[in-house]
Amino acid sequence: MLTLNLPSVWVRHFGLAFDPFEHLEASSDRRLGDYLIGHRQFPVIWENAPALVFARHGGGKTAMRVFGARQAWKEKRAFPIVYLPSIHGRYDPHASLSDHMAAIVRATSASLLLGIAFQPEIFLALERAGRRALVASFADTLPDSLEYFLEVLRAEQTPLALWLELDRLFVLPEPPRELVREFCDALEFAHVDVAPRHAPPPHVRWQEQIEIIFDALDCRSVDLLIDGVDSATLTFGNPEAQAEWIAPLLDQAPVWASEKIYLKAFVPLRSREAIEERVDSLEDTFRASHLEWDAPNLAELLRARLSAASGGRIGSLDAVAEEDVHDAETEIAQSVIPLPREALLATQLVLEKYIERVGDQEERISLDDVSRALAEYQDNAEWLNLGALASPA
Amino acid sequence: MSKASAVPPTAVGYQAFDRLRAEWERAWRDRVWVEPPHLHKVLAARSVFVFGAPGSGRTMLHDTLIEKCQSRNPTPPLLVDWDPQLPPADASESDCAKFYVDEIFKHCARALLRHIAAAPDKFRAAPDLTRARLAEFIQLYSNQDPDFVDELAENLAEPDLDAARGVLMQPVSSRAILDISPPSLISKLTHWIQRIELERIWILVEQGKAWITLEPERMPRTLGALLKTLDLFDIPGFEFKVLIPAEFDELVRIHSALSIRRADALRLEWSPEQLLVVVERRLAAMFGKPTFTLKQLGPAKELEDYLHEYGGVTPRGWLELVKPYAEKRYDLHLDRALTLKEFTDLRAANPPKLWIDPRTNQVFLHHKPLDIKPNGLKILRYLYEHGKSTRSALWYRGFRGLDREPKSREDKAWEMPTSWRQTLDQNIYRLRQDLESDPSAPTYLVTQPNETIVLQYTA
Repeated sequence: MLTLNLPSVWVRHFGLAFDPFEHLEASSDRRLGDYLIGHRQFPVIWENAPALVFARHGGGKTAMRVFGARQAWKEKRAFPIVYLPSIHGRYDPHASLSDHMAAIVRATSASLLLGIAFQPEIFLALERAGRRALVASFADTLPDSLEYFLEVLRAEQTPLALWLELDRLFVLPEPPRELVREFCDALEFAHVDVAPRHAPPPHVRWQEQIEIIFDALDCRSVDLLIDGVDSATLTFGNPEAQAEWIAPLLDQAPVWASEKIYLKAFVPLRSREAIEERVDSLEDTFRASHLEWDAPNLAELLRARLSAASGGRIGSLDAVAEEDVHDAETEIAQSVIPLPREALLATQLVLEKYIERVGDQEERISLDDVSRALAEYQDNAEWLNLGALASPA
Repeated sequence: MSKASAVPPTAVGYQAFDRLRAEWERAWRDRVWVEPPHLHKVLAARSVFVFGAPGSGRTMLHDTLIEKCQSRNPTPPLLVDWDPQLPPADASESDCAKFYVDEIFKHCARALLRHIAAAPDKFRAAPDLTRARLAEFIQLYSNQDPDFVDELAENLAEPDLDAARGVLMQPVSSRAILDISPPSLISKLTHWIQRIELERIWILVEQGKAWITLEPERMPRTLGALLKTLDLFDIPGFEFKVLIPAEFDELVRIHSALSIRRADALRLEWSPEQLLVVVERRLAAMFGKPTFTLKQLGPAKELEDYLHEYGGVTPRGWLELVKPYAEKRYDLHLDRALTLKEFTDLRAANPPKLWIDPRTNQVFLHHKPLDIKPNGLKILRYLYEHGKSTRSALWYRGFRGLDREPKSREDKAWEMPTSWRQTLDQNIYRLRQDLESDPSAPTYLVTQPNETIVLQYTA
């Protein structure tokens, strides 16, 4: 690898299996499910009801979405459809429900393909007709041809390759390679078995997909998870545009709920007021939650990651630090803007300072490493004016 | 190494301090190269904006990044060297974003085609559909730029050109990428390139020459749009390495990719320890020695204190200060360090230059910021602009800010000389206190026998 990999040095020093502070963006972290904390405080994610989860940038929205999707499918509570605005070829600020439905159909196909790739036994347990129906539902709705995805899956022999191809919608534990190969064969056979047809309109496609999910896959409900509302150029930093874009979906949520399709949107906190103004009877329809972090939660987040990376051997940075370092995670958590991303960044800085000091020589994290890191963090945060920009107002 | 093979390096001589611009020093760059601050962060798998003042080593950092990429096997990054052009002046923010997206894809396509031309075997070994997708991407974005295709034909050798032609002419049956959103397309691109043994994509931007020409009112919108565009490209395996002038750092306060940590923001500032290494390596190259310490140049403590006080945080700042001493020693073919007297005499003849930052009105002696009181600053700014002045002009035009001096008592602006001369003298006195290391023997603010006030040694 080209990239100068400082983390690889301290990962080796401390005997970790991986860098637990690497991924600042939750959707790129395939291990997130191993150490996500705080989810129990947010039952809205698990309940069979529409939900709105508000959080600041870097506040854990995507982590909750990723984890929610993973657990829903893994526990067979619901089938997760992850709908990201990036699935649209072009951003349309005035997207109607029809526009959204056309995109949701594509999102559903992507979620279906990913879901069965991670749990191929589900597809393999289907009768021939069920397999054909599922594969037929992919026609013209996947981001690329099924042949392409099969080529990728055969070459890499893991659904993680599809996860990368399909915008990292959600990730589950990898199945054995022989099962992946068997799945590829079965998928290809079913694909060949499907007769071509004219593409039906999105609402028909949607009904077909829902039937497959409830009947063939025997799911009890569907979680329609919406994230990344602020990721288009026109919506970034623009709460009104975000509210405008998502409003048709929020209006439709009660109808879907009656069909056991539960919309759960993960949206920037700044857009809350605009959404409340835009959508009637929001409180009656949605369970709302506000992701907020305090120092103890952030410290727990850091410890959980360290524990996962060490197989439970290391519960705190103190275990690999000098004697005068006490509760490093709390000190870090108390020194940063109260967001997971900030805590992770500051921890990266501590480890950077450690490596700058010791090089390749295995030592222990010093109090000075922590102090210098936090001083640099605060200097950088002040320069970037993060305190003002991170406020919810 | 045996004595016979220990060939001393040739002396770079005066060139070592001649231009102090990395682009002029490439022939002997290795001899003076010092690892830039934060290099490991710039090389990390994150987008980064590096803000650097003139002389901070942005070009050196740019060259280092390219060299690191080119020297890595077997999976280097695809380096896309991008000099952003300006979007149309009347473009909205979203138009600016679209403009940049298209530009970035165009440059990615170019870089990919060059890479495939240079390493066709790896392309041929990739799975069929991956090759088809890459060809489709390249065709879509290079067909938008016919000049590039012609340029490619002029600059590639025939075997390489065959490989490139093959990609451009490859039949593309799918239209898979046409409807893909930019973030999805980038995500796929990062996977496709891994199948032709490229690790990731780095978009390298140095300076953005067109940006320098931006009128101040356009800059925030144009560059702000770029920063917002980056948010679309927050895809692992696709990173921006943007090296830009420090005066653009007000961008960091815009709500953007930087404030939500999609990209890191770094200041290219060197520590005194690093800068000392820069100076000593430069001296070693000048004199053709394997090593050369500051002590070998002159009185080390005095030199170091001088550099610490006036050199600032950039390599060029320190090297410019060292230059007269290095050249003097080189001129005289001395085999000893300069004495304290020689150093002191040279210092008197080469004081740090005074300059005023037009954006901030901060006054510097070389790179040492000075705290000048407001009234003194008025005087100083006037003299900085005019070089010298009569006391009367200094009072009325510099201090009072008038367009011209009053011609007579009848002029409304006229003031009794007995009163303003005293005030002026007091302010000049205070200014000298702020400016001069020895106010009783001023270097910069000198009163000539004919009472003209002269500001000397300005940059």
